[in-house]
Amino acid sequence: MQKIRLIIILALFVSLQAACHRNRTAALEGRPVINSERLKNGQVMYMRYCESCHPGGSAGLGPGILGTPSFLKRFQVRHGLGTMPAFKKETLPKKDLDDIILYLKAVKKASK
Amino acid sequence: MKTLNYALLLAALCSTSCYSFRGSKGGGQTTAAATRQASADDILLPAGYQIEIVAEGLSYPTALTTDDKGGLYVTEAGYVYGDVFTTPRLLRLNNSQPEVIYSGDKNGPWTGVTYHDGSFYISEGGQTAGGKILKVTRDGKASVLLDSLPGMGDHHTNNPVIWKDHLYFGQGTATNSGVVGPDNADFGWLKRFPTFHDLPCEDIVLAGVNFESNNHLGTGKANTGAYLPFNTASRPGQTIKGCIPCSGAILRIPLRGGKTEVVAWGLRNPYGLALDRTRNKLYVAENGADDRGSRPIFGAPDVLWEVKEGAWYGWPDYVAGLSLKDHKGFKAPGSAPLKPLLLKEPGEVPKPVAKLGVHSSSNGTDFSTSDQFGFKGEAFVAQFGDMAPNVGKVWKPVGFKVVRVDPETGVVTNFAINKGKHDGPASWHRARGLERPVSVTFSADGKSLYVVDFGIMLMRDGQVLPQPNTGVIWKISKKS
Repeated sequence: MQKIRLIIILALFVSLQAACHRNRTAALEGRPVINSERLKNGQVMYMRYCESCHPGGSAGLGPGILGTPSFLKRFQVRHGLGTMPAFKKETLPKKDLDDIILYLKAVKKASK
Repeated sequence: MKTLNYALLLAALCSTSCYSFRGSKGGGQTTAAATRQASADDILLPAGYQIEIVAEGLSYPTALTTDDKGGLYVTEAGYVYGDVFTTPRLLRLNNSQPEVIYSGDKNGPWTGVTYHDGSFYISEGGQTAGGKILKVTRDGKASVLLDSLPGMGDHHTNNPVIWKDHLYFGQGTATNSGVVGPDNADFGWLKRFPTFHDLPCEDIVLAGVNFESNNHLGTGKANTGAYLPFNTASRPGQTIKGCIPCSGAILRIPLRGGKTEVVAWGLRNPYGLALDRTRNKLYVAENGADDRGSRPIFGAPDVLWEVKEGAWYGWPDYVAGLSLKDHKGFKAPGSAPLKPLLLKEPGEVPKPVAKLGVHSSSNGTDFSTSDQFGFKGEAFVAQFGDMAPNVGKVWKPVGFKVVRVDPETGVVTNFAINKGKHDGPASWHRARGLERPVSVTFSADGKSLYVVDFGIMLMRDGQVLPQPNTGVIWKISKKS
């Protein structure tokens, strides 16, 4: 029961993070600077798989995701959640998912 | 303690994922007043750029072009979703009052205009009499280059581009995803044209999938197959003959007159056709499918495509290069699994150049050709913004801005957005910036980007409520 309560609190925490507002001017200002191959790949992969539902990491069809902890992001990508489909390793290899997570961390940092 | 656990569980469920419980928060779903006072102060751009108002008070402007002397000309649509009819017009923007060059027939929307060799070429959408391509001289004399295009449905004849002595244009589909249904009655055209349906560009063989709905043309139930009139069922293995003109395609005609040809097909609403002069290639921004009608599709992005001659882009059985039968994520919540409508695929579907926001209505597109303006070689796309909840629910408004797209990488970056915590039109923000950008056009010297802002369109109680006299033309340029 303790475990269940912890999961529920985590889910609430995630939803509150999704509701948190971020600075939207970072992209206009050219931030984050894409200065590594991993960030470049992460950005391209993000555009391919995630951008259309979470534009710039913010809410659109789906909720904003910049505030979601990385481990939860990975879980949700691999398993789906609600209307969000799962992206298995055959579609999105681990290396590309790692790079997307790195990219999102950079976007989040830039938007503070 | 048990009560606390249940309370926490309920709070988590309600706030996180449950799509069915959740409402929609689209950009038109606002109680804001339907009046407009535009100001550049409420718009954000990259450093070094400025934006100013060129004209305001227009009614449903859709496109802008310049003549060989730098004069600015704008089309007003003459037809708007919500089944609103006004007079389509070609206007010259003077300092004081727009001058009417030509007024058209009640057959809009006029979706695009381009200027070439002394004349204006206009795409007339075709809501009452079929789509047309008009040629209008500078002194307002009009002739019809092409008519009887299948533009009487959901999507229309779009955006002419002149290239290689031909006029290219987009022809949108009649339906959302291949099947005439109750959503087409809501659009208003099903009663006007009860036998209208989509037309393939080549012979296709149907899988025989049919969809039951209420009979909006009579009583009881209707059973409708793909590429057939409402309440006409299909059979497995049934062949539908291809024809030209067809729907869901990019077509072209020689400027000097001649046969209409198919350039590419299988595109749902190829609205933003644009020539990239840097790469000498044609691109198109396509509006993706909606979560509505007899065959709703969930989560379909808008797409920027490179136009490849002879290619089939997948509609109605693919979304953004992905097959509906292999990707379960496109199944709309609460709906049956998606089955292919075609027994045999007409070709191999290309991969998108870029994926744009679901329900963003990524429309008019143009490419930067100037180092002075910047971002040379990138596509600039006007995002009209969502029409939620009619197209499907959204978590927050999608679109209502101008984005730039790098065709080499598919990276989409905001270029002109409203101030505020989220994307959304000025009316939603209770502010004075962009409402619904519908097209962008670079000036002939490439140093300025004109943004045609359609104006306020509210979405209330299932109705589409466009507001006249709220259209604005913006001009973006580098600060000196």
